Amino acid sequence: MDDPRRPATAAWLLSTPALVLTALFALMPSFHLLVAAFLPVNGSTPTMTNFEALLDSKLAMQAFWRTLRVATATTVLTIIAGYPLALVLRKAKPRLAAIILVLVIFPLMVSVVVRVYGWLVILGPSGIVNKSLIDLGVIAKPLALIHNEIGIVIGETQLLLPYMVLSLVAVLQKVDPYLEEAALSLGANPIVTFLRVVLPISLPGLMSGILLVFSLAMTAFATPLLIGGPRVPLMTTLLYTYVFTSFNWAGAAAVAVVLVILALAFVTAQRLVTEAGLKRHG
Amino acid sequence: MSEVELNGVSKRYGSTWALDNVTFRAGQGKFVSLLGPSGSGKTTALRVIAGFEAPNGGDIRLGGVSVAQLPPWKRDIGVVFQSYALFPFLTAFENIAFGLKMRRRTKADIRKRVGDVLDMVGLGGFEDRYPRQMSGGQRQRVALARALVIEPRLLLLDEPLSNLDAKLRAEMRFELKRIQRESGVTTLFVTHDQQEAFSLSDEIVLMNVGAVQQIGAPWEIWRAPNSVFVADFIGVDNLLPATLERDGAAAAIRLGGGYVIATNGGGPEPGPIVVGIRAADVRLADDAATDVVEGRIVDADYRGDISAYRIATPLAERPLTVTVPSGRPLEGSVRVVLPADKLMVFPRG
Repeated sequence: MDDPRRPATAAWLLSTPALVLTALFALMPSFHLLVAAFLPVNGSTPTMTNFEALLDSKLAMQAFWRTLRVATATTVLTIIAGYPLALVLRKAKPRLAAIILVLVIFPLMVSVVVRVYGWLVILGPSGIVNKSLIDLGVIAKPLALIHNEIGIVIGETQLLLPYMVLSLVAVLQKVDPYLEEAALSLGANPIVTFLRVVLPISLPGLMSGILLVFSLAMTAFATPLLIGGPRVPLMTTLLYTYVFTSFNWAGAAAVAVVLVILALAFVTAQRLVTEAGLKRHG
Repeated sequence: MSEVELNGVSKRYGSTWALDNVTFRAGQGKFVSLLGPSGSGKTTALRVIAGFEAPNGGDIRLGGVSVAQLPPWKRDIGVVFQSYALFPFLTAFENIAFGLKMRRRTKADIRKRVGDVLDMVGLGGFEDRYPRQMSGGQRQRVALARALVIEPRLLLLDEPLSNLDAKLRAEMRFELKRIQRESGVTTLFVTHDQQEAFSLSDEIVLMNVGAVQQIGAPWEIWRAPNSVFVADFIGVDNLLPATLERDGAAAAIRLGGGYVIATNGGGPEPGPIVVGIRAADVRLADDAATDVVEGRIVDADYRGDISAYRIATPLAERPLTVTVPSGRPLEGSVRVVLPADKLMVFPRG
């Protein structure tokens, strides 16, 4: 068992540093957080006080629903923008595909600060979007595109689009291109072919894309903080305010636990759906 | 079921012509093979007929009516792909029913037709299997059933046998012929395998680098290939450079080593030619024979019922290939005869 020459033993030994790091810096703090969430500010008996305080706080409840709204909107937008892109990538010649892929991944390679200030410049009251719309006479007064949910959704959609596109491309590239031609020859027009052949096959990729984008959108911090600002809190930015502005550590712990539970619930739901789908189709 | 007709169809990819002015026709209910090596344009021809690729010129007629402007989903052409292209998330029944659903047939009608076609391809009882739960041969039958059930005006088969092992391939070949006869559907069969083409076809369209080389019944092409390429492709073993000499009505073929064969007057212009002769048509001579060529056996290949020998002769640089019924193994020097009536003569170039 403890013969270091045995591959399994060696693997365990080699992974010790990573395991120790994970235990020390991820598991222990998480456990500590969980405990803190259930302890009242001054006391040692576990209670639900902190969670009740969240339910009573109008700001916290707003942040909760806003977080779900923003994450859902972001996910839907990445699907709408990402699916056509993935289809184009699948059919594109290798060189063009490489160029598109780099462009898609580019937001991930740019510092969040640069990216967000870019959006502030573009979406701000005197930014390109508002300026052009006013000059064209479409609107009279600038639209509010930053310091609100719209701005946050735009920023997160851009950031998270690559995750959706890459998840879809990974699945679509494995689809036999002759499947579509088979459907066409059997009398299905291109729209029906997409709905009845391409879409069903790409579902696993779509599901993993949704999982990635939704959980990342829910836990995003820098983009909502910089584009939304403190007056449009999401759960992540509310947590930040609790810790650094109001020093409400117990409340922050409770928010964190709610976030983790939401994320886990979402992952579980997604897995159940995917497994049900696999059982049907294989 | 209709006859199909290609008239001067061309297709260009970049600067290469995948199809160069291709013209042929397949009569109603006929089984026609598009035979050629890879890159000959046979698959492109099939894709253009199915409507997956738009031709750069020419016309495609189905039952006398041009379909060149119709999209694939309106052509009523059944296609069986090399990879079968079965929908992996649908059962055999659902795969076969796909085309009928697109045609908005009633449930009862679909059930009956799918049942009938499954019986025809010998897959009764496999309705609920998914493609991954079936063998290659079974998938092949489902793919065929899926294409046939819509009662297509034309059936296109793209190397459907090439993914099967040798034994299954031979079996499926007979099955394919039986099913085609039973359904009576006009069929175009794309293959690079001359044996498959010869055994299945009413007619063969032999292609090379995008152009039609020869059209004819299998026996016609076998007996009289019209070019060196066709002869080589269908396995004429010996192709020897020679010169055709003509003197009035008499003509003679001059081979290497000063060997001359008198022929009748037909054939190409005098000048450089290629002479073809099958291995089985070359005779090994006994002592009494005249007009013999001295040769030396350089290689022997015992194949059971026959033996193939490679014989070095002055006729050409490459040794002759000769097959004879197997007997006692031959060695050393032999004398060969090229019977004049078995020679095929092609212009060189």
